[in-house]
Amino acid sequence: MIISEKVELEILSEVSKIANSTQDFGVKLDNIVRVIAEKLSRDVCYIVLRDKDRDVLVLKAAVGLNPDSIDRVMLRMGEGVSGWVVQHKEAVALEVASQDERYKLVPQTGEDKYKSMLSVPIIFDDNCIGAMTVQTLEPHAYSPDEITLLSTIANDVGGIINTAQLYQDAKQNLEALSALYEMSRALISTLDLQTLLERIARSSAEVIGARGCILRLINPDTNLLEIKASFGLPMEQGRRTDLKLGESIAGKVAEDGKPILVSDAFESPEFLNVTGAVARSLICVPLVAKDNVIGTIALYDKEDPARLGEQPFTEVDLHLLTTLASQASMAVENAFIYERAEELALLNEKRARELSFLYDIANAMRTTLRLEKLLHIILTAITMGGGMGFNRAMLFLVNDRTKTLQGMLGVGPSSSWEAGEIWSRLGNRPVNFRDWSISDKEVASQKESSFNRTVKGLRFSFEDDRTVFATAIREKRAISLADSESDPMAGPETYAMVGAREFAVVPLVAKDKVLSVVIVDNKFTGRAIRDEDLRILMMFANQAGLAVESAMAYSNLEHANRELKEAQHRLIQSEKMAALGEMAASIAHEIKNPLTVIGGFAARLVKKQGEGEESRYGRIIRDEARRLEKILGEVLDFSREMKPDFRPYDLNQLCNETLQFYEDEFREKGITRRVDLLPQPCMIMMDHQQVKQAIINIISNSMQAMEKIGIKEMTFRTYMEKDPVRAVLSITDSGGGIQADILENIFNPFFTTKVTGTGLGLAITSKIIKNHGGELELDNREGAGITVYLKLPCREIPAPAEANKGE
Amino acid sequence: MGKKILVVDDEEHVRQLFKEELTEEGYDVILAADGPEAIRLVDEVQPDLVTLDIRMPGMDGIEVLRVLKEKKRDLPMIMVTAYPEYKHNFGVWASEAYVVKSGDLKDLKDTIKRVLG
Repeated sequence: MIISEKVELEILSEVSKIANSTQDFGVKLDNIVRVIAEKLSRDVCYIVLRDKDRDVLVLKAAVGLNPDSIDRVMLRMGEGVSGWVVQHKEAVALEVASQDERYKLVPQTGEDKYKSMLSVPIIFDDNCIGAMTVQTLEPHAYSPDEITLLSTIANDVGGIINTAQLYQDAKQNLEALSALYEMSRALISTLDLQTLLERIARSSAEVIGARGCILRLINPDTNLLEIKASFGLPMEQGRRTDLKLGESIAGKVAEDGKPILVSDAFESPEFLNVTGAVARSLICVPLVAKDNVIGTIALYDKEDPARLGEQPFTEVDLHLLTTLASQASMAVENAFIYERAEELALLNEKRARELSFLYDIANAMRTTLRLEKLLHIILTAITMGGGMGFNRAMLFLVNDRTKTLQGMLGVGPSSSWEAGEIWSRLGNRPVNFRDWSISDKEVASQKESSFNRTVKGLRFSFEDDRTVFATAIREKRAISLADSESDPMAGPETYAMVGAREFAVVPLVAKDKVLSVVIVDNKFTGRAIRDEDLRILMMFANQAGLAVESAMAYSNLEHANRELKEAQHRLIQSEKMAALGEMAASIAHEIKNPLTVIGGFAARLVKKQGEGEESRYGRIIRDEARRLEKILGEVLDFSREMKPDFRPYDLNQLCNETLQFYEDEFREKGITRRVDLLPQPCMIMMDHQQVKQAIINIISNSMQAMEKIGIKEMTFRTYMEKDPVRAVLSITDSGGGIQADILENIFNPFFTTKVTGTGLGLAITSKIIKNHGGELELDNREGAGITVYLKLPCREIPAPAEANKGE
Repeated sequence: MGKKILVVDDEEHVRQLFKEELTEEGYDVILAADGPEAIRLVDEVQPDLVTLDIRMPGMDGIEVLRVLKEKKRDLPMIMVTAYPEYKHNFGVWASEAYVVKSGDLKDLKDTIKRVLG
């Protein structure tokens, strides 16, 4: 008795020391059973406690049993010896426990090797809160003293357990609160969904003390549970495992919206090695937002650092995780909303970038009105990295008449090697959106590229309505072909010509008319052409179309302007001539009267003087006065308005008449004459007197030119010319031609190289032919001779067979 | 006594030249320096022929031609001028001939002879 009292005192002193320590509840229980087993010299001591929520007995601490079974072995009320003891609040002492009918073997504890058993209830406040049991290897008959001693200890421990449990509850509540606080702090610090999910997984695992965590969300499109975040687990296999609703534990939780606790997955039929890592216990709760399950959180394998090793999750853990999950759900929902808002913002930003790009391009296009440069800007914008970034762009002009597309310009590399070169160079160059206008040097280098030369040689027919070209032009929209070779809108030939399997055809539309077409491709990078690309291309194409149209209009305007300027120049020139002529005429008139008087009296002087010395002077005066008169006559002839008298006249006949006039003179001067006239009459509306004068002027020039030349030869030909239809009289001499510097001036009035004559001859001739709506042309062969072509418009074409004669 | 020719010209030296040359040809030459004088002299001297300059101050030759032709329809008149372009002016059509002035008076003399002959 004394011994037992001493032992009791020792044990109680130890137990109260343990109870007053700051250790965890579980550790305290561990220490208590160890002390009892030691002091009482028993092989086994363990405590089961009632779980109020589930009304079962759970093994909470043990010495001598498999530590793995702690917190995992459960007994219903009345089940086994401990169950009986708790139910009846009575101690049970058995010499060989296995012989008692109340005995139930729990193999995982490893208790089968123990023979004796003494189990006493743990009472507190008249309630049985559990049982304390000791066992020995050998059979042992427990004395009433021994039973009383253990009962007394158990009652003492009951108080301690209750206090410790209260403390533990308070501690757990505090932990739960601080976990929630930790969790919410982690959650509000980010709105990035992925970061958030990873934080939830990490916080949940850390707060509850689990080895790992898997967070799954339901993909609304597929209705599958996808792993979105995890912590502490090897994930690579797991990521691929999407779960259907109802499948596996997480699937069940998501389907039912109810949490599941699995203490020992080895014994659970729902166990599934989803994570690729062996997990023994788990808790899984649904994530619920606005009454809808959006996913699940599962924790695996609780680990208590204080008690070493893995242990099962408790209801408390499940409750805490549920609370965490409801908090997490709200955060996830917020992040979803934020993500959607961000997506919208991104979309807006993208649209804004597109608009600004189009705006910049439009500005660049406005920098020039030159069609050629504009086309370069357009294709550069399509191909440049900061722009639409296509590999190559080719521009074709639409010819509606022949139904063909003619290649005009190509911008892009001609080989993948060149592509690499160009892009690495461009990569180093900051793309300035404000500076789309390109320099003339760049234009020149683009023009010289071999790709451009290739494109210029390309020609596509769009006669066939089904072709991609005809369709794009007809429907005024961009069309892309993924595989041009097999596409019925293109075919192998088009594929070979374009040189890319995938390409898009974009019509440049202006005022409802397609003036040109651009073909773009990604021949070298192979990047697919998306609908998005086509949309931007089309927006750009409308702008570019308008720019091309105005550049074309400008080019036409410029052409018209140039023609006007030339006409104005000619007008000024002819007005100058007219003014000069008028001035000459008025001077001539003023001179004419005194000249008449001088010449007249000089002649009288000569007559009166007879043949004397003085009369020689008189003759000189008379002759010079006459020469002056002649010059004046020519001047007046030129300046006087020549009103041609137009009548149909045969050019051949006129030519013959004039030659007849010169017949004698030609013979005298030894000029050989060759005549090659059209066989049929060549009727022309003309003032034949004036044209005759023109021919005479030419012949007399030629005769003068040939004066000092040995071989004197003149050739006269008439023939027809087409486009426009004109009759031509060509007169060729062998006079050695005219020096280049003189040639420029020969149509100027008053220009002459002759010793005699006014120089008005050719000017008058030219004027006559112009008055007839014709042209005077010269073919000067220096050293040989000159051919003058009198080209006169002809309304009637002679017999067609004859029209081909001549040049 | 030869035929009477009235020479109308505003330039004294021209009148002088014509007078000497035509007198030598055997004509009786009377001179007038302007239109009104010519009109007065026509009645006074009753010439057989008139040579008329066109460009004269005051009354020009074409006007004088008209007045004289109204007075004496049958009096032959030759326009003698430095300006070939009046040849196409219908105002001179009433005259018998048109001669361009020249130091060589052969053309004029031939024409006078033809008109009087």
